[in-house]
Amino acid sequence: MLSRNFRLQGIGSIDWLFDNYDFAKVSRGLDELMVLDVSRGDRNSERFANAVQHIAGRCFIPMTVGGGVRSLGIAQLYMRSGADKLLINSAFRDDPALCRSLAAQFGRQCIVAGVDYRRTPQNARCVMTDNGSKEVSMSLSKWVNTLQRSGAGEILLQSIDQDGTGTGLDLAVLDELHKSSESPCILMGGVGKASHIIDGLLHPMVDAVATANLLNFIGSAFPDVRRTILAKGIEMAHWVDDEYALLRGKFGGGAEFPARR
Amino acid sequence: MRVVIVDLGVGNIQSLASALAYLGAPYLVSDDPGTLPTATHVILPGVGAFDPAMARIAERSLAEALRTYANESKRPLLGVCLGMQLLCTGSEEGSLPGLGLIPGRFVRLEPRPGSTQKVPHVGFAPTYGFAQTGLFDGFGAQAYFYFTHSYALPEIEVGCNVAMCDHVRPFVAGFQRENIFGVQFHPEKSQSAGLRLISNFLESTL
Repeated sequence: MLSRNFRLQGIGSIDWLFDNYDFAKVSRGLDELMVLDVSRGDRNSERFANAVQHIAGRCFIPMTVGGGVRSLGIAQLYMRSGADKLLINSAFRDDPALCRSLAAQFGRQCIVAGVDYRRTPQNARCVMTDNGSKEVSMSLSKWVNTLQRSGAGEILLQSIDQDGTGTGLDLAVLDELHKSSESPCILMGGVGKASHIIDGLLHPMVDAVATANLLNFIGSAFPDVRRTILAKGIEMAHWVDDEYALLRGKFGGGAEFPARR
Repeated sequence: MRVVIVDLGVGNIQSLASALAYLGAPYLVSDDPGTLPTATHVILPGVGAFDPAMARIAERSLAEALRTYANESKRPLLGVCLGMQLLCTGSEEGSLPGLGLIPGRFVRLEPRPGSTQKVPHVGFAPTYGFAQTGLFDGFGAQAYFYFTHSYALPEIEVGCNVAMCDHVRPFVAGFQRENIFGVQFHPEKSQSAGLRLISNFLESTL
């Protein structure tokens, strides 16, 4: 398991995550989960798919899975393992026909286009692919249009510069996009506290905010953030505390998966 | 208890199976009509297009078995997402007729000009208007569930316990009519609210 997309920091295995952070419980403060294979170099897709399946068996929320989606085979593997949506990044540049065919096969709403960008020395926002190593020569706005034509159902905008800083989202990026974007827009990169998420959700062009900041996974951070957001009057699903405990094993047939602390 | 999840090969049934496992409900995944006579509960899930799913039902000789199970033995049957469409008369999405267990035709959600609400409808949304009994027992006035769909049922016959939702237009989010249940949303993706709903379904016996 790794924390932070561009400044990778190893933290442990999937089991470690479930055991030490009670991940199933952490997921109860969330609306959706993204699970990404950020391996550099050789990927072990089967092992990753097993981890996805493990998470899917315990977290009853929509899951977006990504990392190396460059073939129908990998897309199908992820979908079979429990993905509700696929996150695709570099394939939109290298194989847009694949993206269109995945959108046709699974439905556009299953395709999330990952857009990583960073500021240039001239202070423009430049889209990057391949783990932030290759520049896209098009403007951000034109790139987003291209993505939508290639089957993207949702757009995930991630600021490479803000990633891991905990100093807040780059909301100004939205000024570069057309106001009438037909795709839901998820903003990511820089979330460190509840007010960052609130600022994001209050922006009219933002449909969702994502975070991979490890601090957010500790203890009751997500449920607390959720309560703060709801208290601001932002429209979000209300989850009932402790309902899981009442429902687990209710019908006595025995849980298929071993109990976790 | 013996729950049968009817697997038409349209969409991934794993999360639904995981939800039943979490609740401790013994279940079986099958497309064999022979499993229905001994089932205590049947769930008809689905994600995707209407016609391929109805074609598969015909191919596996499931239509009669489902009608017998629901209308004669009157045991609980739950249609989830596409499964709810399949229970009805038909859908604008396809040309084949549905199972006809519930009168009603699904229509396409059309985005309204000037509205920020997009189609397909994807995300958590509040449902309302239901009686807090049966399928919707214990929910309070409003319950959030996860939706992902482009077609919806505008209304349902009088006498059902109905949950409504608004996206582009009001539509039936879920219903119960005696032993027949349908939900447009994905209870297996709706946190504990979804598990509670599935639990309510499992508790219904006649």
